[in-house]
Amino acid sequence: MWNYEKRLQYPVKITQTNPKIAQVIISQFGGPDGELGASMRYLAQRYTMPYKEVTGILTDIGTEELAHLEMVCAIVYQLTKDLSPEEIERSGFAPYYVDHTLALWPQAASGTPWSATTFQSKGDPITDLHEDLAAEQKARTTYDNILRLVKDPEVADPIRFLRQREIVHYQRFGESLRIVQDKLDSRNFYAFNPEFDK
Amino acid sequence: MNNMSNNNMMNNNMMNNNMMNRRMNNVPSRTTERTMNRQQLMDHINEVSFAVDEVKLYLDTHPCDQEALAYFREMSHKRNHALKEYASAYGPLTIDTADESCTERWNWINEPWPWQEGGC
Repeated sequence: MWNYEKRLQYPVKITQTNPKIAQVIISQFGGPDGELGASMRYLAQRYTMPYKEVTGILTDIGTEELAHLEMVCAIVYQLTKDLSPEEIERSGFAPYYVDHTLALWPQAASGTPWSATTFQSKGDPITDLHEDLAAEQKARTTYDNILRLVKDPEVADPIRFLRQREIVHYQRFGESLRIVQDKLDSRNFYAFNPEFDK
Repeated sequence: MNNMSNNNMMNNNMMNNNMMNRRMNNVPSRTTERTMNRQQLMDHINEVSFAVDEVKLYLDTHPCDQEALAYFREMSHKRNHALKEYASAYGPLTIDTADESCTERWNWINEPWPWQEGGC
């Protein structure tokens, strides 16, 4: 069960539209290392996770990723608000516009639709937590790539907040991996899969 | 959200004592909450809510850390109080505070959504 809270986790107030940069930032909505995939990854993995600390972290980070998805969408929305046909033409936004007008749709910067094939839910805690640690770093790199292209401080500020959260999540997943390994046989962490072998 | 400076946030990872103390000192007391304007109250809600978000994740992997537990209690209390204040003055941000501002109208849909101009 989820409750909606009518505010963003960190404010987004962009006064200048920029459809060019919006087409890049939309990748963090529906791209391979975006927030939608991040949320679905953790929320899918948690059901079979046998350790309560890690089930908690997957639930709470998976939930926070939904708030990040909302921030990314708010950024794209504000960057493309009230565009004229001329601005759409000039900025190269026409291919997106023809399919979605100015609505939000989860796709990568390349135009590839969002896909569950961008993540795994493997059913082995060591494997899944390594997937999660890698995912946080991939998202951090994507935000670094975005920040090299963004000149507007009103856009860079919330992007920096999102980048920082990837680092905190990486830290918490690292602690989760340590917690899992502490409960396993230190002579062979792979002796059995605690999500399957009883 | 100037108090929640990027320096604090860029400080990478863990909750350490300094960071917690710094954050706590930055959070206004409840007496100042009454004199805040709408934007200030919203910033305050964002700050204490972020503190709750951050310490919640920390507690998931450090469930016995007494200092973090005390910090959670304080921030959670401030957050709930500020959400009620905001609802009664400007309209609800959560469904659990919607009755604070319930008159003869359903106010949940009245105020702008967070991605809109004038939203949160």
